[in-house]
Parts: sequence; C-alpha cells; structure tokens
Amino acid sequence: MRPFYENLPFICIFISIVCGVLSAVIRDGRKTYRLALAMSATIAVLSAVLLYCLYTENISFVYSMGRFAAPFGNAIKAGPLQALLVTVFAIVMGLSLLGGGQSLFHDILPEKQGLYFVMTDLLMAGLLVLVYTNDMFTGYVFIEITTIAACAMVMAKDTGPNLIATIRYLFMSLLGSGLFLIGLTLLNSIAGYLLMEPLANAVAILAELGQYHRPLIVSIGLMVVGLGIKGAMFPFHLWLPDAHGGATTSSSAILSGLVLKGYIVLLITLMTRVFGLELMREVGVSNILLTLGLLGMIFGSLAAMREYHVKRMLANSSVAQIGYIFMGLGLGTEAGVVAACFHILVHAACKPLLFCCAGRLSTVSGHHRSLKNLRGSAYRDVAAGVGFTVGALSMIGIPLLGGFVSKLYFSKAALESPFMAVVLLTIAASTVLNALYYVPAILAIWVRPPWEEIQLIMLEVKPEDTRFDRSFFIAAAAFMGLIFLLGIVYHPILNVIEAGVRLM
Amino acid sequence: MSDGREKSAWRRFADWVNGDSEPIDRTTQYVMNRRPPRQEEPPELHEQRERLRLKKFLGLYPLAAGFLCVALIAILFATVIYIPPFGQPGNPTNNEVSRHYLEYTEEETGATNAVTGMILSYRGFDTLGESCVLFLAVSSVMMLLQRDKNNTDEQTLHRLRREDAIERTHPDNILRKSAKLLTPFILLFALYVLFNGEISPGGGFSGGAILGGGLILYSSAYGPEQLSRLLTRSLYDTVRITGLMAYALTYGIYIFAGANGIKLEMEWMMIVIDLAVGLVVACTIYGFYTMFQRGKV
Amino acid sequence: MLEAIVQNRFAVVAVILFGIGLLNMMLQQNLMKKVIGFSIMDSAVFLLLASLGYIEGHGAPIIDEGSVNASLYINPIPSGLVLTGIVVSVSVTAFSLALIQRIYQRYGTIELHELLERAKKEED
Repeated sequence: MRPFYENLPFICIFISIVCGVLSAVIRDGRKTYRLALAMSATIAVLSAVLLYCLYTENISFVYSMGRFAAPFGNAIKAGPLQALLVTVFAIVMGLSLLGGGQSLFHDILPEKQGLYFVMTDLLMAGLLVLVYTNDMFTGYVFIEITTIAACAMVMAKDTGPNLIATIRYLFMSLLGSGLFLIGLTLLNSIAGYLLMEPLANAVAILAELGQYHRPLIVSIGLMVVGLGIKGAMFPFHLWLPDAHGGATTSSSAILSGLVLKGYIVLLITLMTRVFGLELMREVGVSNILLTLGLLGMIFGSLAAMREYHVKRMLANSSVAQIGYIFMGLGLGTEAGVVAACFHILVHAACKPLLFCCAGRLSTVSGHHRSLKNLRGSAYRDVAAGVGFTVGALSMIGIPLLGGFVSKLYFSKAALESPFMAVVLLTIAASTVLNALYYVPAILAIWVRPPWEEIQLIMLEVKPEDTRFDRSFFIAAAAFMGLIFLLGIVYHPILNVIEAGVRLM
Repeated sequence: MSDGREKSAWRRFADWVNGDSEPIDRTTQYVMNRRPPRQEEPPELHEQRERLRLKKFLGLYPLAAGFLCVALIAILFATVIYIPPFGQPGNPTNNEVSRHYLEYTEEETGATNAVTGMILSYRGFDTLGESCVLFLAVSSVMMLLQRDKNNTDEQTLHRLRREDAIERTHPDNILRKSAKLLTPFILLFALYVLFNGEISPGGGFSGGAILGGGLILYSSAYGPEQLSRLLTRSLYDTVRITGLMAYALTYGIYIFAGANGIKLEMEWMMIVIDLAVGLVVACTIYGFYTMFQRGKV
Repeated sequence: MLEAIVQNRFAVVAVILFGIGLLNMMLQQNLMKKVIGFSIMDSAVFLLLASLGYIEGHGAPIIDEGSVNASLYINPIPSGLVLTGIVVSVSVTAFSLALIQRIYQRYGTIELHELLERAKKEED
C-alpha cells in the first residue's frame, strides 16, 4: 500500500480534466471563471502538500497509471522539482486569470467565454502531464493538447491580426511536434521502449557500445529541436511576438509564463532522465543549445528595443529570457540545469506580472498599446505602475528581486564551463540591453506628459475602465510577493531544486 | 519651475517623479531620448519602413527555410538507412514489452485484440489524452465557427436560408431514398464494430467514426434542419460530455485502484470505455461537419 | 548503400514523403497547401512508425484462442501508437481548417504574404 500523498499528482491531473469537461457543461462565463480559479487554487494547495512530503523525505516515486507496472503500463514520476514547478505553475495560472480577468471579459464574446475556460483547464492538465510524465508517447499526446489549447487561447480575442498570428503559431507548433514525433519514432526503433527508465538504460547501452550511433544522435537532435521550436528557441521564435503580443492579457501571461515552460520542462526531463547530461555533451547538442541560447539573449533584446507596442516588447523580451534558460541547459552541468530551473520560476512570476500590468495600463489609457500613449498612465492606476516597475527591474536583474538571483546562479554555473568568458560577457551585455528597453518603458509610464495630451487620452477612457479593479490588485500584489520571495529567500528554493535535479 | 532658486536634491527628485522637470543626469536623459525619434516619426514613414521590413523578411524567409528543410531531409535520409532492418524479428522494438502484450492480453485485460487491449488498458492514459484532444478540437472549432456577431454577416445568413429553401422545394430523391435505406445498416454496423473491438479489428475509434459518418449521410440527404430537430444542441452536448466524463471517471477509478493495489472487478471497464470513446468520436466527426457547414449544431 | 535502401524501403519512402510535406508546409504561401503539406508530413511519420512493428511472415495481433504464441504475431505497440497519432492529427487539421475558413471570411484571401501585410496595417 503506497502512502496517500503519492496519489496527489494523479488527482491534480484528474481534477483539471474534469474541470475542463465541466466548463463545457456550465457554459456561463463567470461561473467557469470561478471554477478555473478554484481549480488552480486546489492544485496549488495539493502540490504544495506533495512538495512538503517529498522534500522532507527526500524521495521521488513512480506512480503507475493503472494496474500494470512499468514498462508495461503508463506511468508518471514525481519528485521535489516536479512538485515545486507544478505548485508555481498553478499559482501563476490562477493569478494570471485573476489579473487579466477584466480585459478577458471585455475581449471575448459572452457566448464563447465558457469555451475559453475549457481551454485553460485542459491547458493546465497538459502542463501537469508535461511536468510529471515518465513516458515519451504520453508526452507527445499532451504536447498536442497544450498546443491546441494555447492556440485557441491566442485566437479567443477574435480580431483579424489575431487569427493570422494564431495560424502562424499553429504551423510552427505543428512543425515542432512533427519533428518531436519523428525523433521519438527513430529512438523507438533503435531503443525499443517508451517508458523513460528502461529507455534510459537502452540508450546508455547503445551509447556505450557505439551501436546505431547516427540514428541516436539524430533522434536526440530532432527531439531537442522540436521542443526548442515550441519553446521559442532563438532562430525559431518569429511566431512568438505576434502570438503573445496580440492575445488578450490573460492569454499572453499564461502563454509566456507557462506554456513555453511546459515544453522546456519536458526537455529538461529528457536531458537529465533519458539521455543523461554526459551524452548530451558528448554528441555536441549541449553546445548547440548554448550557442542558440546566447544568440537568443542578444537578438531577443535587440528586437525588443525596436518595439513601440508594449505587449510585443514584452513578448520579444520573453525570447531573450528563454535564451537564458537554453543557455543554462547548454552548459551541460547540473549547476546549469539548476539555474535554468530557477530562472523558469523567476520568469513564470515576472512575465505574467508585466503582461497583466501592461494590460491594465492600456485599459486605463483607452485600450491603446503603444508606449507613447501610455505616458503617465502609471498615475491612473498606481498598483499597475508599481507592478510593472517591479517586474521590469527584476527582469533587468536588480538585487532583492528574483531576476538577480537567477543571473547570479547562471554566472556561477558558467564559471565551470570552458566557454566561461563568452557566457559571462553575453550575460553582461544582455543585462545592459534589458535595461535599455525596460528603463525607458518605466520612465514612459511614470513621466507625466503635458496636460493637453492627458486630456486627449482621457477623452477615450470610459469611466468604468478606471474604476479600482480589486482582482487585478490582488493578483499584482501576489505576483510582487512571489518575486520578492524568489529574490530574498532563494536558498531553500534552490535546495529544493538541487534535490529535485538529483532525484530526477 | 524656472524661478532660478537652487533646488534641493529631494525637490529635484520629486519634480522629476511628477514629470515637472527633465532629469539632469546624463544617462537617464540619454535613455529617454532614445525613444522619441521613432515615436514622433510620421505614420506614413513608419508604415513604409514596416513594409520594407516585411518584404525583406518574405524574401529571406524562403531561402532560410528551404535550406533548413533540405538539410533536414538529407540528414534524415542518411539516418534511416542505418536504422534496424525492416521486418526482422530480432529488432530492438520487438522486446519483452510487446511479447508480454501478446501473451497476456487475454488473461489480463480480457481482450483478444492486442491493439485494443494495449490502447484501452495498458496504455489507456494516452487514449484518455487522445479523447481530450478530440474534445478540445471540437471546442476550438466551435469557438471559431459558431455563429456570433463577429463571424456572421447578412450575406451568409441569406445564403444559408436559400440553401434551406432549395432543400425543401427540390429534394434529391435518389440521395434521400438511398440514405433512408443505408443509414440503419450503417448505424448497425457501427455498433457491431464498436462492441467487437476486443475480439476483432475495430473498437471505439473506428466504430465512432462510422457512426459519425452515418449521421453525416443522413444530415446531407435530409438537410441539417431535419437532423438537428432530432439531435438538438443540448442533446449533442449531453452525449459528447457524458462520453468523455464516463471515460474520465471510469479510468480515474481504474488508475486509482490499480496504483494503490485495490482489487476491483473491472471486467465492464473495456465495454464502457469503448462505448464512451465511440460516442466522443462520433460527436467529434459530426460536430466538425455541421460546424463547417452551418456554424451551429 | 543500395542494399540498405532496399532493406529499409518503408523508412526511405517515409523520409521522401516527409520531405515533400515539410517543403510544402514551410515554403507554400497558400494556407490550404500548408495544411495539406502538414497532413502529408504526419502521414509519413505514421508510415515510418507503423513499419517498425511489422515482422515478416507474422499475422495481425488478434490472438487465436488456445494458441498464445508471441512469435505468430506482429508487434502491436506501433499500431496502437499510430492510432493515437492519427486521431491527434485529425483534430489539429480540423482546427487549422476552421481557422483558415475564418481568415478567408475576414480577408477574402488565404495567401500568407498578403495576410501579413494586411495585418500590419490593422494594428494600432
């Protein structure tokens, strides 16, 4: 008889699927919204309990989905890292919905709102399985669930540019999952298993004997590239600014904060549990990841500097931040993976906050999105202004905020790497570039324009838009709390991540 | 604030925060000045530049994409000739897992069709995910195509009304008669395939697809109005959601019991799941058809 | 070389199909053709996957009563995976076709470069 807490991951997945189906029954926007919030809160609490149990006992376990033990049946595997990631993901999901709630009901037609929450709930299920899965093919199926749900969330706003951004996003995602599937097929043909533990053994034996060397390398490469495309790795990120920048606020927050991370977490699982970091270094995939990550850090920031549209600027900045994560993975060491995992948490807290605040600021400025129309908007909603400032400063890497800690640990991890100088210089350059577009944005929202200009903007603002938005305020405060938490009490969190990576 | 009085640092800072004065340190000024040229350029110039950028992108993109694709294909080609030879029993894929499936399917799951046994019992969680994909696909197609004020204009409504009128006044007799004759048999065959998935080729997916095909035939012969009187939106939703819900609940109980070592009589599980999958698939197929054609169920 | 190609003929054909699908999907400007390319690409992967399970001379994995001998049947795993994969690909295709229908309703064209230009104009 297994202890009851081992059932929690499965119960979380089950809850999210059932909530998704129930949302289709209820169909009423407000009720399904509350259901989605309740679901996120429940999953967050259950995962926090699981995290506590796993961390104090310092174990990870395999949970067979059914009667049949591995390698015959499906299985999921949970350790401290997975529990931590899911806890944060559920919190961020709930807070993003809360923070973007007002514009969500403004942007989506009433009869389609119920369907929107079907998507968010099943997206949560997809993310949970991507984090927990211990089976390659289950991973593929839930990648597709996540893809469809994410695309539907982008197009929910239903404007023309939105539809076009969605179809570009969809095609790139399909290319990514196609490459992942063919990589999986090749790997299956030479190793013969789908469950990760026996597969890892088979891969280790193949690598040692040098058998099927070429198919092995190619299949690893295809899977990494496939997940990289879906995770917006540098040269494949062109779909991202339009898709994330054009969607409704909650969708942008969830897509940037969580969906990209889901694929990257699956990639981390593959790298550490199936292939092993040593093999990744040996076949050179690590170096490719490192190079693309470094290029992404620079070019993402450069693209963000050219933007005048605040949400697209944030989306381009996501490319740069994802570059950090890939760079950490590309270092090919445990320290690099730990730093990457920490940065996943930091970015999952900062970017949704920035998107929610940007959305709120544009709501109080007559739904304008370009920075020049947002001048002085922080005074119209101080909470949004403060939130934007905190998020931006954290992205730049100011001490006491989460972004600083992750940059610190990336640099620390880079010290052991043969490419130390390049990595450190790029981190420094990227920090400067981050500051070059975030500081003007902060100044733009805090500096009051001339009186006539304010009058002009206020003409377009409806009175109900400027009313105090309590749910946004709660969400922004909670996000800021999370960022400070990550920036100040980072030691226990890093301990959990280290234990989790060890127990992968 | 040009009264010439020497301001304290705090006062200057407060002015700056209020936006009353320009910041005096060089860096901030530099950073602030970086933006204005672009923000104040005339819209035509900006538009022209954007168009140029797009043109450059569209010119460059095919080259880069083409090169990457050809390289990928070459790599794949050089790879697949080294994978284990086709059709040999000693290949790595044919390991103890597949032998176990073949030898114990009947004993452990009660199905003689090893593929059905595998997808519904051993690897049933994948299949649950797959049903969720179908459910999601219908939901997202509904989100896109269901008639609302964004996607409907007078012209479309007019076209639909005209099609209905033609349907009523000039029914296609050959189609109607043959549909009337065939539909019962198609539905019967669908049920046969659905319930015999365990012992022969077939199962929920194939049976559901045939069932959906029968509905589509009936709908296209008698006009969508006729069928939507029988299969209303609420009935359609009920069937679709009951199907997935029954699957999720049954399988949830099964996973929970199996993982915790609780013995349960789950002989009925395969039948329930097969039926549930069949209903989900049939509703999905019919839903796609009617959404694309009419924009409503 | 030639022997290897003949031996892995299904895999080679699958790669050729995959290439056709991939090039269509990435280089065509017409959205419908892109979807068709995607379908070809997915079918190629399913062909490769299905060919993995085949064992020469063995029958379909439907166990006859009384003769539970694993060496009579082909490997059932790839068949099951292909079944799952096909369903996923159908769903995705339906979704992309619905999107294309909406785009056509709104813009009257499904050529990607025209759409991109129009979308740029519409933004604020």
